[in-house]
Amino acid sequence: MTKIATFFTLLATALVCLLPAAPALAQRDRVFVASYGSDSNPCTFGSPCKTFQNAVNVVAQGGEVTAIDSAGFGTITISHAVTITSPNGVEAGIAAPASGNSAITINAGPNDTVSLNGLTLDGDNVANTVGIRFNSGGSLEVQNSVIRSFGAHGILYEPDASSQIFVSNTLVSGNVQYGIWINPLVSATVIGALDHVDMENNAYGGLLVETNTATVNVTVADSVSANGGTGIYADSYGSTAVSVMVRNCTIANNGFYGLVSNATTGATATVWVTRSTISGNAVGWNTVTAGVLTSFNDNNIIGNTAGNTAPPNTGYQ
Amino acid sequence: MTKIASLLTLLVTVLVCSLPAVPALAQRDRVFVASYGNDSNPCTFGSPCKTFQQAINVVAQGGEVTAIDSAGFGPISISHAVTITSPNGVEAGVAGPASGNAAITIAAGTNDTIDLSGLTLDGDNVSLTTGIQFTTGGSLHVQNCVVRNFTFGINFEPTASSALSVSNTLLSDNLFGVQIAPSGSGAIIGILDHVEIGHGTNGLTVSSGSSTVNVAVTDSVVASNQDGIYVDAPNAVVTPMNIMMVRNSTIANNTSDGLIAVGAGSSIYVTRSTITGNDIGWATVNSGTVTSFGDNNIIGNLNGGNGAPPSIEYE
Repeated sequence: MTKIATFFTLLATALVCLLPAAPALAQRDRVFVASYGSDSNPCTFGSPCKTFQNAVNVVAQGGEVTAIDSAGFGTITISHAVTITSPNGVEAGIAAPASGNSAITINAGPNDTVSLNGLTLDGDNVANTVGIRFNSGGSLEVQNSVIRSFGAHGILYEPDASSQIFVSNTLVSGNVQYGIWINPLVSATVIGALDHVDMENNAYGGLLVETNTATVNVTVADSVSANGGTGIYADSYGSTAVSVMVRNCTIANNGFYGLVSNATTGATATVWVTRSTISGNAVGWNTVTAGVLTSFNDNNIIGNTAGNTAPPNTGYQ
Repeated sequence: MTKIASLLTLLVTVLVCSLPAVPALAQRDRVFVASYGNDSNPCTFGSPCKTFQQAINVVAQGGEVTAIDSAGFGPISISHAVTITSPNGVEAGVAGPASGNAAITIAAGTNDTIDLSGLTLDGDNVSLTTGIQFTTGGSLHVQNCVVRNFTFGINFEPTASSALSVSNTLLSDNLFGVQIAPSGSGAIIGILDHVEIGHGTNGLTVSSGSSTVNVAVTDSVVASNQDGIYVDAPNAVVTPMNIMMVRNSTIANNTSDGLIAVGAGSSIYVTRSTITGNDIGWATVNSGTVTSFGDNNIIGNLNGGNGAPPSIEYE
């Protein structure tokens, strides 16, 4: 080459090397999965992905993953805020994880909201499986979903910091242990609301609210816990306070207890029950050690094999 | 053949014969039916089957059968745990079976859970037909379904301890909307939540026989039948008890009895409910009992049963 050519070659090379790197592909706020999708697609409506996991990986933080049609979209591990939606008309399912695993695992940041709508989670009775396992995050919202037949629990909520759980219009049935187990194991404040939640046929029980270190307040309204082990169980076994308000619920035909409030000495467990029906259970209600159960004197507690007596009560205001 | 050819032939033969047998086709956890399906398909979403029966035959135990679009998918016999789903927006129907048959027949294992969600069952008023016939199994869950025009809408006749739950479901124009009539001597539990049973001959009937039956009916409507809720339990049972708990429900315009408890083992409890427009609001026969919590509207029943039942208090 001539000297000039060599010089220009060097110059071109230098210029090219100084060009800024191509910008990273901006993450989408809205992505889609479909039965005909492929995980090599960009997860757009026109080119959807095949698995929820891939969609969650590519969606922007706080973005939305929507299922276009009915299929199984695979188990998911969620590490950031996201909404996952299966709209009415679509049955987006997550079938049984392997033993020891969960259909949905959430390890999100302390301010992250994870919202799950319209999903069908079925554990197929595989041993030691969980529907939704929440290990960390700001809040968990579950609406219009079905969570059934897991070998352990439907929802296992074990936050590692203060956080919130909301479950509404959801069926939790046929799980081998608990339908919903709220089980913070850290010093934190945990609040929860269950609204129109149907807990049926969960062999250990519908709802267990339990802690040794956290302060936990849960309200259960317009819900059913029936045909299972224990309807609703509040358990404080360290030195903190657990409160469960049971309002306008049907707690029926459970093979162990309807309601239980259990607190070790030095801890507090309070179950309030109002406008509810507690019938057909082996034992209607029970308190253990320091546990307290208070009625508003407006419940039907009858037809249980035992535990039909009136709890201590308090008045309306 | 040359020696080498013979040797190679033998070698190939030995190799082929030592190949593992082709593994049996693994059963799928999730299968699909569609109007355009074909029962010679593998019942995948891309190649769905045409009938619920074929889908149930191929799905793994405890698996899920989903309808992709609206059609009739044929009567079904279920012998193992399974979920059958028609999502919102899809009308998956099972049309009238022949006389003497059921749209869905369940004879499953002792621990099997059967889930039926979003289905439309129509008996077309063919005589002696049943929407859902349950004889054996662990539990039956019926949600968001419509069951109409059968002799029995749901006929729950377990031979052993079993559980029934029905929610957000309409049963109309059946001779018996829901019948719970166990044989044997098990413990039967049931919950009806947001269920409408209407325009039939008998709304909800419980005949406990030698079993114990505990049923809770909540936030439901039983209207325009002949008998609304009929409980027949001849033998007084101390533990466990036969309880029919009627909570926050409307029992109206039934042309015979709104609530009727027959036999010493029948105990109907009624709370926060409205019993009106029936021929007889409530009645007891042969030592059956109806007990109120003093918080019901029992009024406007045409020929009796407007008085206050014996009542107990809240706790």
